[in-house]
Amino acid sequence: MLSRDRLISLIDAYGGDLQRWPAAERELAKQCLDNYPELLAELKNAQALDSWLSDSQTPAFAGLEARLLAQPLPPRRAGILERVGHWLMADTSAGATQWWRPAALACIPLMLGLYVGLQLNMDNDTNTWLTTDEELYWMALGEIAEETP
Amino acid sequence: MSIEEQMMQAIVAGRQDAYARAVHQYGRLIAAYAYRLLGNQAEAEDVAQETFLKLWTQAARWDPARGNVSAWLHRIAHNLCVDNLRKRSALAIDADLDSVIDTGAAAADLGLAAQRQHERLQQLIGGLPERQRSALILVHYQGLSNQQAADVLDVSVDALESLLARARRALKSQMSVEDK
Repeated sequence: MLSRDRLISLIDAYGGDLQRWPAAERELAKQCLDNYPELLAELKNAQALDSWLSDSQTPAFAGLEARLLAQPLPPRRAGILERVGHWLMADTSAGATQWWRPAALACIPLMLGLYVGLQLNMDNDTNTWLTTDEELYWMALGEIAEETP
Repeated sequence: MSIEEQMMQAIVAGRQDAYARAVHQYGRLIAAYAYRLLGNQAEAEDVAQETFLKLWTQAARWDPARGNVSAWLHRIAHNLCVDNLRKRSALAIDADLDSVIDTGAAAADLGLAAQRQHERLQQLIGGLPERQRSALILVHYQGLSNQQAADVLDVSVDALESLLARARRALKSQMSVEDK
C-alpha cells in the first residue's frame, strides 16, 4: 500500500505518465490512486506539464551516424592479462590449440619450487651443518658441549 | 549471455561491425541527450563522437551488473557535457543562455508559433540548474529508469526524485506565469 505522501512524491517527480514511474511501484500506485480521488487533479496538472515538455524537439542529426562511423578508431591495445591469455590459447593455422603453451606455463611454478627447495637445502648444508674439523675446533674452544648420554 | 554483452565483447575484441551496431542503436539517442543538455547541435555531435570513441577504447570497463549499455553511454556523455558546461562557465558565457542555445536546427520544420514555443521551452529547460536539467532530461526524454538516471548522475534515487520534483516545480511556475 502506497501512502498519500508517496503518491504525491511520485507525481511531483515523475509527472502524470505512469510509464515513467518506478516499475516496482507502478502497479500498486495505479490501485492506490483510486483511494485518493483528489490526487487525480494533481495527476492532470502533471500531465499538462508533460505535454508541454513533449513539444521540445531535437534535430534530426542527419549525417551523424556516418560521422561516427568514419571517425578513425585507434588500434585496440589489449591488457597484459588479455595478451597472455591470447598467447596461451592461440590456435595454429591448422585450428589446433597449442596445448604445450599452458603446460609450459604450469611448469614455471614447479620449476621455481624446485629451485627454491634446492637453494634452501644447499644453504642448510653450508651454513647449519658443521664439518668434523669445525666441530672439533669449536669443542676445543668449549663453545659446543659434548653430548652426554 | 545477452545480445548486449555479446556486442560489447565483440567491441572489446576489436570488431568494427559491433561498433557500427552500437552507433546505429545509440548514436542519435546520445546526441539528443547532449543537445538537450548543451542546447547546441555542433557541441552535441562532438560529445556524441567522443562518447563513441570512449566506447571503442574503454568497452572492457563496462560492467553489466552496474547497468545497461545505454545507461553507461549516457553517463559518459553526461560527464563530457558537464566538462563542456564548465568550460563555458570559465569563459563566462554560461549566463547568457540565449547566445548558446541553438534552436534553429530542431525548429526548422515547425510552424512559427510552434517554433516560438519550442525556443521558449528550450530556454526554460536550459535555465534550470545543471543537475535538475540532467535529471529531467534523463527521465522525461531519454526514457531511463529512476535507478539508471540516478547512476548516471551518481546520486541516490531519493536525491534524483528531489531533483526531478524541483525541476518540474520550476517549469510549472514558469508555465503558469506565461499562461497569465
